[in-house]
Amino acid sequence: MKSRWTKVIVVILVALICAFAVFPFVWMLSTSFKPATEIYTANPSFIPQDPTIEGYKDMIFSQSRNFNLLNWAKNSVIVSVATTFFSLVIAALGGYGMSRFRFAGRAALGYIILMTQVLPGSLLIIPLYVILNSLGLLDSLAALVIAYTTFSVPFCTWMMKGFFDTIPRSLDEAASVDGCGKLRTYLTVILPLTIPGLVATGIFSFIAGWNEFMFASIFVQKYGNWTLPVGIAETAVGQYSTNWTNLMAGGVLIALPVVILFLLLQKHLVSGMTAGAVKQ
Amino acid sequence: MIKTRRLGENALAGYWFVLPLILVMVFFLAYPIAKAAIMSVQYWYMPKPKPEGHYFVGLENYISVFKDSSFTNALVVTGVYIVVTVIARFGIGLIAAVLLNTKFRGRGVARALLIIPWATPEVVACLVWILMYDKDFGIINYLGMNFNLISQPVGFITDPAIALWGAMAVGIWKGFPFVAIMLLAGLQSIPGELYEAARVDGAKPWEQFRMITWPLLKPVTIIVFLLLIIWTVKDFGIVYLLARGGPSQSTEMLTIFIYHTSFKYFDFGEAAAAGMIMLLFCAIFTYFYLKMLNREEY
Repeated sequence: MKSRWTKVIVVILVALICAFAVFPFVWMLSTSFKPATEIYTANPSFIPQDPTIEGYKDMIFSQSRNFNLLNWAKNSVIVSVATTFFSLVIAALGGYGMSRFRFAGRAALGYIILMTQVLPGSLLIIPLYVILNSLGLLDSLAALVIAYTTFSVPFCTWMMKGFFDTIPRSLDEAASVDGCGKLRTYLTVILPLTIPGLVATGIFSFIAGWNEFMFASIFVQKYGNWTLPVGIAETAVGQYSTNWTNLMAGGVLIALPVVILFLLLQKHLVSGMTAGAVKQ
Repeated sequence: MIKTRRLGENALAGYWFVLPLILVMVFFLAYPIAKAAIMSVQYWYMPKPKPEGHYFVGLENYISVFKDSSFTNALVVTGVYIVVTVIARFGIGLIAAVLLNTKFRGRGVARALLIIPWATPEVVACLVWILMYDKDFGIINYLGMNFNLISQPVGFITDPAIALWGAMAVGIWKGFPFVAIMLLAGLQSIPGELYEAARVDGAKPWEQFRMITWPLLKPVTIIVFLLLIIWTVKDFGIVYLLARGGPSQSTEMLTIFIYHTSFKYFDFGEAAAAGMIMLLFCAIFTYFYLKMLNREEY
């Protein structure tokens, strides 16, 4: 009897927290299908009375002097994929090195990786801006790939080290007995076993690149090179009267890929993120 | 004999594996930080370039930071933001984690839904919240008025007196799922037999939490709390996108102050100085936190 009441309370509280978490997303979905008259009203309804997909059509197909969602999406994909690729290569190598080899300075390296989490982006952006400017890399997607890779690599290495730690060392030794070199052991024996880890780490860096706003808004001024977050933010500011149907449709289009990725792979992602911290 | 040789070989191979990582960190983290430290003692006011270039100015940038009333304001705003946001993110995250650690139907769905704020891009999240916060047709004012919680529409991010609170609510919403997920993972590593034994002994849920959950969760809590504080100090996107530091600087946190100083007023020197102060604060905090942590372990 008592435990049933506890259960009811638990479910009610969970429902409340979930409602808090999900409501803005649901509201965005709902608004993206509403015509303007249903948005600028004192009596907003939850379900659109007269649903329209004009917002989505507008966002996807309309192009103007400073608006081109598909082009920004292409930029975002390029930047995020390149960031993911470089981060994975570097982080997997580094994570394996830290997991398997006892070299001098290994502990220090671990600390340094943790310390990089302390570095504020709002400080780093100043010297990076000056450096990239003198290299002539500003206003290019390459600038963003460099910045995002740099920021995601330490945490990704930490995640990958956690995954490598869960793979028994005896496998390395067996491969070595069979005459496998270090690099071949890594590439053909161990790496294939960490595919879930690679996926989790890859998603982490992909999302970091896909969502980032500050660096993208400073490093890339040309609208043709904007990424989705900058594009949509500028669109919101630039309009004389905000077209919320369009903005929310754009928001759904930007958020949906990431949210779906998260939901599909949440188990891997969570075990990856916690591998480093929880096992501490 | 053989062992030492193998160790040496191993160490060397280890360096090859971590080399790319080290190169990236040296070129794109260590070098920029050094550069920022140097810029903070040089003349870098971009609108008025001097013929001497970026000459050495000593501590002038730091002095002008401390004399800047915007900086003092930013410190206060940051302080309030960190205390409230960290406590709320942690509190809600912990409650969510404990709840999700009990068995009930739909737990998987609940956990998935919880992740959504974390997965939503900052820019998108802010747009939705700006719409929901709207004074004339926002859903929050509508609900507040209908349930008689407020007597007149509130400008959640346009009224200087409460804009910071409006921004913090969004920050809390966006940040608590991460805490919940991490703590949940920690909770799941606590063996269930302990709770069974406690139940047999007649321990109430609250007693179980106090005697089993909290002490066993502590190692995870300590790390999550540290990460949470550091990440909260660095928060920028949400607050900036919601209110751009305004109205009348009421939401201008340290990160936004630095951003404005560098990319609005283009005084890279003063911005770098403010950034170095912030970095120093974070580093000292982390150092003492980890030290305290080590002492507790012995």
